[in-house]
Amino acid sequence: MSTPDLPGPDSVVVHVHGAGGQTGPFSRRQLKLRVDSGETKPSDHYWFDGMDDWIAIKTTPALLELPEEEVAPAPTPAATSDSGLSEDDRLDGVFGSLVKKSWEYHADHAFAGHIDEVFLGAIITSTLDTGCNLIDITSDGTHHYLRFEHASDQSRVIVRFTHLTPGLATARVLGQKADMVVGYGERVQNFSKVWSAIKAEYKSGLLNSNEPGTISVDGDMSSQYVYCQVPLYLTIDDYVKRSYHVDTALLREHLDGTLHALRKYLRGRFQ
Amino acid sequence: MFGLLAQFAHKAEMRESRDEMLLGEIVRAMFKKGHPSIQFHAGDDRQRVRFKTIRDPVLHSVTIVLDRKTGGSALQEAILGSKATLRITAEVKNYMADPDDLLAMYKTDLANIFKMPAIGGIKLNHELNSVFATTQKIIEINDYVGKGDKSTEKLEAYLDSVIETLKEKLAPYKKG
Repeated sequence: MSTPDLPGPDSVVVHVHGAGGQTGPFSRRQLKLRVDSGETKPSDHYWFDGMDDWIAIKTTPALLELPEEEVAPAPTPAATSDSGLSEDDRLDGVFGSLVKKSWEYHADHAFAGHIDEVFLGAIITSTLDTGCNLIDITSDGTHHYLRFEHASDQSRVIVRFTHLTPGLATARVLGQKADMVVGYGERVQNFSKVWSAIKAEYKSGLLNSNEPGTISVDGDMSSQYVYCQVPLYLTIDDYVKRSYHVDTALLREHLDGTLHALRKYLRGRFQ
Repeated sequence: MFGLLAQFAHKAEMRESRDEMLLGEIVRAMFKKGHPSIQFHAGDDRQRVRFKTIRDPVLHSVTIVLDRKTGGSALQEAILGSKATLRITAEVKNYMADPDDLLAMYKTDLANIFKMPAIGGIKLNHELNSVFATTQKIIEINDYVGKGDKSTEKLEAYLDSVIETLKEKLAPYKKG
């Protein structure tokens, strides 16, 4: 198992897993404070992007070893002269660290705004890996619509996806939430079945519900496709981490489970 | 009869979707290189996706714009093929900018004013903390989609080569 170089002391990329579940990401500096205060146990496990697996914190002492001047509070003028830095260099360093912190804040806001697009890319990748082609995409940055077609059996997957919490403050309180409709479609050779799907679509309209788990039916007369679709609410943080790492295995499992249920329903009703 | 019509409709849709298929393959290729998508703007014939080059020491982002030119109809595809322009822009971001940089920007932009990314050249552009390098090429979409692993590998090699060239142009502008 390879272990990459440790991140910088202020890079907020370290995830922790302990008895209370997963927390983070933290910087190494924040993690040291948590361990010192007992909030995080040395026996808890950590992970950051690039690592193959979670490792116990106590097995990597270097993780919590920060250079002395980075742990201590701002140096006094006396300490500065001991370090050999001129006052000019020290103040330049102070300014540099302020700019760096500002960019970290800026990056947090940017991440909160585009986490849905990271997730969208993961959906595209994950679905293409199953042998589908992307055949339709519409996006205005907040509302995304995707349609895929499987290369061998021409079955189709549709995804409508809206980011509900694009602001950093809302996302920190509620988590990153998305309203998503997943649909599965097949071409139905029997014309009367398409017609019955269209009637079912009309009845679906009468349900007039966006409540999760409500399966509705849609029929396309021109292409003879029948679709079943279901609305869901997803927590994007479950799939996309602050380090931009995507848990593709979890995403694949959730998509597989949803499409399996829709396929079963569609074939039971219309094939 | 319906089977035949359905087949025709299907083929028409797939032909019309060539640019979306290519876009999907681009998103997948970039995702697998560790460059997740961070911005989508997709309409009928023009798609724009921005990717974050997370672990790249020089680049901050890459933006790809796919603009389909021909092949929307069966006749066009037969005569002209499925052509599209692929505009690729790489970005270097520096974390500080000052008035001296503004002067450098002016000089770079003036030197680049007559460069034409449309014919494969690389155009540089400054915008405060960012420097962009852009190139644009006309490609045959069918060379990069629909041939399984072969077309995927070809697309990946093409993107690698273009991004590497843009990166070399931008490297001198990366500070610190």
